[in-house]
Amino acid sequence: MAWPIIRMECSVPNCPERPPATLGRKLSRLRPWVQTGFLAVWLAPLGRWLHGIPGCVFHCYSCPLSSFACPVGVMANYAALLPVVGEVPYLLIGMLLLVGAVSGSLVCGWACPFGFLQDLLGKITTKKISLPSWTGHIRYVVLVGLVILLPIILGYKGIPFEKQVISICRLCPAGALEAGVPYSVQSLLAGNGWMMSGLKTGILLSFLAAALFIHRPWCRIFCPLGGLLALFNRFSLFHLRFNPKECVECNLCRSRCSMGVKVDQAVNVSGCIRCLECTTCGALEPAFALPKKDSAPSKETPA
Amino acid sequence: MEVWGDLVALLVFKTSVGLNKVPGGFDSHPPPPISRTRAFSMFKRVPQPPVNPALRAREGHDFWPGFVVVLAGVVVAFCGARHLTSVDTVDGNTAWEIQLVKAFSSGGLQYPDQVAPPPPPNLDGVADPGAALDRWAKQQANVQPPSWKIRVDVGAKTPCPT
Repeated sequence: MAWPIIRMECSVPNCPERPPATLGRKLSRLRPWVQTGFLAVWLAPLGRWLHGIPGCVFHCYSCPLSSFACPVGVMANYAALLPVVGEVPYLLIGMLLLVGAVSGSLVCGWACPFGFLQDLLGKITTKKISLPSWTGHIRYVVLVGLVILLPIILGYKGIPFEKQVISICRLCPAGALEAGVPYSVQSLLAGNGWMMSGLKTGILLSFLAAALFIHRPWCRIFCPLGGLLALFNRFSLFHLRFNPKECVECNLCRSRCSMGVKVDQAVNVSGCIRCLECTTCGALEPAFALPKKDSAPSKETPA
Repeated sequence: MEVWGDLVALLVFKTSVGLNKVPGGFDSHPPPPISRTRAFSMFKRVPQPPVNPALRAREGHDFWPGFVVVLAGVVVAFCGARHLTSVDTVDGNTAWEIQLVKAFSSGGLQYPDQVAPPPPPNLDGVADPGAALDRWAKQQANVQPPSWKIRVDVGAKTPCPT
């Protein structure tokens, strides 16, 4: 079916009137359904027996319905245990290497339940605030400081992770939403009052409010898992490839990017969550590195 | 700047001769409709400096670096799934890594100071309760602190340990 010609508001002189790329358009429509499908995976009521396996998305394992373990929580727990037993989280490392090397941060854009919630909140029409690109580096500060170093230091002081007053789990908005709210409602109904701390409730409300005005504020500023997976974007098997023959400098790629990535300059960067919205322009296409066809990308670079 | 200057000049020229007001004129970039539907606003472009596609790299990824990391991930994950940790369970067995991870979410980690001492003996029907209590207190004083630093309670079900 041919797409109708859409007259676009564009200040670029050589922007033609052309329909969006069919593949990108289909992916854009498909994404919310895939995210919903993954929500059913992460919230599988029968999945509690999978709690011993770290997942690859930001999702609290204390949620009554959750399956799989939160990789960030597992990482922080292992860090706190380091002074006591010195165990290495092989399963977690292997899972992150596997998912990261195959897909990069594709799971952020297509599978993460907390990202999906922020996507839905971002659909509400409000004036969106753009963030400077340096805010993405805060994710690595959270990863190194709050998830790894702080639990180790407090662990050396003999404080178990569950009793550490400041920890990623006590500050996490996903944990507040998926575990804190259900248990607090349960407690409230039982007449025991709201059990979640004021700080955690405030953090949750702040992030929900921020998601109305900033696209995916948690993912862009604080998510340690997103920051970790984004490091794989530069060499992951699944990636985005630029086709110069299709580029008409229409800027649709950059206009469609809600994460503020300068897609017109480079796309496989750490700020990208691989939502694939930029493929609507047709010049950027999803690709999978294969041993024969794509083994020499440098030769394909146009002069 | 030059592009913008040309654009402004073109806009001024077309506006002056009335071409912008003529529907179906040669202008390929008409002003946006007053009441935009969502489909139109979805494809609104952000102004930005023009780029040269010919100078941009294709960003195609090589297969082998990714494949090697995938392979490493598979091996490490498999080893992790078969990994017996140095942590014991309350039953006296050695905990699998999967059991240790599961203990994080269910409050299954036990520390020595969290283990309650055995309760005092039942004094009902005891001829000399004072002596029995003394005996019990001496036994407790002689009890060595546990040698383990941490252990896993596989059956723990605390919903949210934090």
